[in-house]
Amino acid sequence: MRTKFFAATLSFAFLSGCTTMVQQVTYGSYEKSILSGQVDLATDAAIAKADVNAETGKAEDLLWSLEAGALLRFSKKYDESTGFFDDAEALMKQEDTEHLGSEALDGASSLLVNDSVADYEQAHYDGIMANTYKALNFMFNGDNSNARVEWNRVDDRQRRAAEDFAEKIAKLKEEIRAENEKEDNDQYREVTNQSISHVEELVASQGIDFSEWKAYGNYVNPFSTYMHGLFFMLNAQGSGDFSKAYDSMRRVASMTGNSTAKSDMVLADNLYRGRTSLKKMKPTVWVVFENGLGPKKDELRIDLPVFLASDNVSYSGMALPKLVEREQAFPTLSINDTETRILSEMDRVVQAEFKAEFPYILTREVTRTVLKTIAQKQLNDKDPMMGLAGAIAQMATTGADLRIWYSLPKDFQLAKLNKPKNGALTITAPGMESPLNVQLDPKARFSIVYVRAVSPTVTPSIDVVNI
Amino acid sequence: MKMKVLAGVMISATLLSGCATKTYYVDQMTGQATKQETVAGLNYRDFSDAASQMVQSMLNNPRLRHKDADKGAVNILVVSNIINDTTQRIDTDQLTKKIRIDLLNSGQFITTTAVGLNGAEDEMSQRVRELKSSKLVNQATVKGNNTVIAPDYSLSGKIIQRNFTLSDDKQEINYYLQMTMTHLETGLAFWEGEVPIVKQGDGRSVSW
Repeated sequence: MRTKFFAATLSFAFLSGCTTMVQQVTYGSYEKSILSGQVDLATDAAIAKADVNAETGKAEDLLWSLEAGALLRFSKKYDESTGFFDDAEALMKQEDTEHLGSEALDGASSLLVNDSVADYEQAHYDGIMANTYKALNFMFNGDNSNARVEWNRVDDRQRRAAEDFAEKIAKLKEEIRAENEKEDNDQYREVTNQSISHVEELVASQGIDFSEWKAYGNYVNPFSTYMHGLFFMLNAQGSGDFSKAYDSMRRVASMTGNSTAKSDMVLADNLYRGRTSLKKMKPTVWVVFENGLGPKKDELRIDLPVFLASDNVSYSGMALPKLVEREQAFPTLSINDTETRILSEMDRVVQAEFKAEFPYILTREVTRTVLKTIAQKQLNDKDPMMGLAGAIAQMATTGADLRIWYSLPKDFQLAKLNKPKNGALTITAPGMESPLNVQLDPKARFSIVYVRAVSPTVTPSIDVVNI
Repeated sequence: MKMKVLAGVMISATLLSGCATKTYYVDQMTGQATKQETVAGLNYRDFSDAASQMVQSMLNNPRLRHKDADKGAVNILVVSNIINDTTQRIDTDQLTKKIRIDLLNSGQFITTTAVGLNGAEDEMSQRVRELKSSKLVNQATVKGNNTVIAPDYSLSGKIIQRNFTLSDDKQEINYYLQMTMTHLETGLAFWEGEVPIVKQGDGRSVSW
């Protein structure tokens, strides 16, 4: 009996466990493909993992659909990219409106193992960026009607995110206040609270200082808001659109201080007030630079943080996700002597959301660790062999959820210049192997040149919107 | 004992899972949700009802009546730009087609398909005139020049959406279907109409 139990525990541990290693291997090779310029390989991997249902033709894995959608843009497969983002949005909706029952079961199974076995629950910035990329896809395809719909979706998601964060922060404050007022002597709660305080100290000792992570106002993603404004300004169909553009530009200018955003805010206001018109404006080029790769997650493993009043456990530990910053591709781009400047950092958007979620991640992990450790102790009290099996299972199932949208950029940069008479742009950057040449459509009054670079060694992709 | 607790959790989870929030129309007088179920987006009924209301309003407007209507004269209409400024992917023809049909059936308007903001809706009026050089075609049957009729009115519009979060995980979705009939000779908006549609539904996710 004991042998069977031991064997069963071991196989369970190996099957369900080592989740961290599996995640690290998967993401490791995916990241390597992107950074080495094998974007096609990474795209194929993402599409395979997006789990497209042969009957419905719809992707069923949310996170990998986002990856596939993002990478397909490199090869200018805009329709396919939009298809994956559409599927991702449908899955997000499913996740949002998931029946409380399945959510509870999802929670229960993740409590037994770790967060990575639960369905991926999208971050707000995932949804906002999915709609942003779709809007850009439609713009690159010259489909402004559908681009407008996506920009409106971006706006609605930003509104929802701001409300959700405000609610979350208020709720957390209330929970802390209520917790402080409790005076009961529930041993389990005491152990959990003690462990949480201890882990918070440990997290801080690892150099992870959340206090430096500050959200942009109302948790807005300024890049999406800026592009929303630029779209409505240059494709305005009535003064209402100029008003929308001004509103977006004003928000971005005050959040980021970016000089182009400031000048576009003034321009949108002048257009709205009829002081100028698109026809009177000099032909202009906006260069948007999507730079490097945003944060990824790594595991922060902490051993024996639980203050159980017993020595009868062989292992106890917990694993938390931590954000690891990645590199810019280039510090800046020069376009015919005009330099791009940082508009906003995706890093900061991701960090702010992670910081807001972290108390929940921490509480879940501490609760899980305490429960697993108590179970292990109880097994050990009955039979030390079974206790050992429990310890092995606990060790194997302890793992952080490292899932994150891997192919998002580190930052977004911006430049604005008068359209050269010959329509020729030369883009250079420190560390760029050879300059990029762009020939603009002579008929276009306005152009948006969109440059995406993942690393200094990979040739950037360029898309142009002619207006 | 433990099994009992687990079973209890499972049963409550199953019971809770039945409580999905549906979408209902909101009574615009009271601001309260009605019992009429709908979808968060705009559906056939929304377009059909809005088109009927608008056409009724157009037909009741004496300015839109042709001065020689008694002699059987009709206004020629061209459909201009209908901006979809919502979060839904909408084919705006769903709205304009119904309006065109109702206006045609009223006997007061005929829509031209030979002219359009982005080219003709039906390019055939132009293409058949290219048969002038065809040896195959009986030239007496080829349509001549100077026969296509220019429009008198242009129908343009916009569909706007605004969402608001309510308490209890609900949201209110407001749509405004706005249309304008421009008298092309004077450039004046002879008729304007707006039909608001208000819905209340699940606020846990986006409305599209």
